[in-house]
Amino acid sequence: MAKPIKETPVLSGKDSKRFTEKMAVIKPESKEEKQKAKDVFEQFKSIANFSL
Amino acid sequence: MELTDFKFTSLKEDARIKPFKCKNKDLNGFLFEDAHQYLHELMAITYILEDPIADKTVAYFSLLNDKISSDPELKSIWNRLSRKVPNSKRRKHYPAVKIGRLAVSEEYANKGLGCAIIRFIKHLFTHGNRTGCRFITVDAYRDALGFYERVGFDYISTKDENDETRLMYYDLKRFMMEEG
Repeated sequence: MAKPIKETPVLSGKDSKRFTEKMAVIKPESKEEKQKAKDVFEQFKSIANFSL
Repeated sequence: MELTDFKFTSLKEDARIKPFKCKNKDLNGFLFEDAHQYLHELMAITYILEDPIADKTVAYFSLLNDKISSDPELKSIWNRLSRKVPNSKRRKHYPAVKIGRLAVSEEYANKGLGCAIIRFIKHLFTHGNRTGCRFITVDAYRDALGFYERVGFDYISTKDENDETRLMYYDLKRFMMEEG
């Protein structure tokens, strides 16, 4: 039996502050990275034996 | 070896799992001993990459619903950020998808498959998703922390710094925003 998947805790204190501040300053992914992700998705889709 | 040489499946209750071995015993154990049970209990879905010629499992990952909840007692921070986050978008709970486990077989390691899986998940949950999903979370083993940092994940908390696994997150909004 493997270890259970750890639950995400409710953030509080400094963790909550840091998380909130990071959420307000989002660094967009580059167009190249988005394109790579799209290409990979299409490859996965082409070999999937279930609907995506 | 190309991704398209493999077969991509979603684990079924009666499916036999093809041989798989990575360096982490817990990740091996999860696939063979727990993945079916998580599926049966509707707790997590495991997706598998298989090499049909070698008849082996190449990699797998398990996904489940998650959320990030943040302490509401943060008026001072919200006030400071008020120009950047409008009132209507301030929430205490944010929907997320959790990567419960992700592993690549030793035999197929260091070929970019882990990165490809992360890219796949990022695209999947930002394009045509049926429900809202703001973050990807992951319960990452210590030896994988560098990998998740490289693919854009950040730490959720400092309280698990000494634990065997650490919780990390990726903001999917990064995929929806344009540069500049």
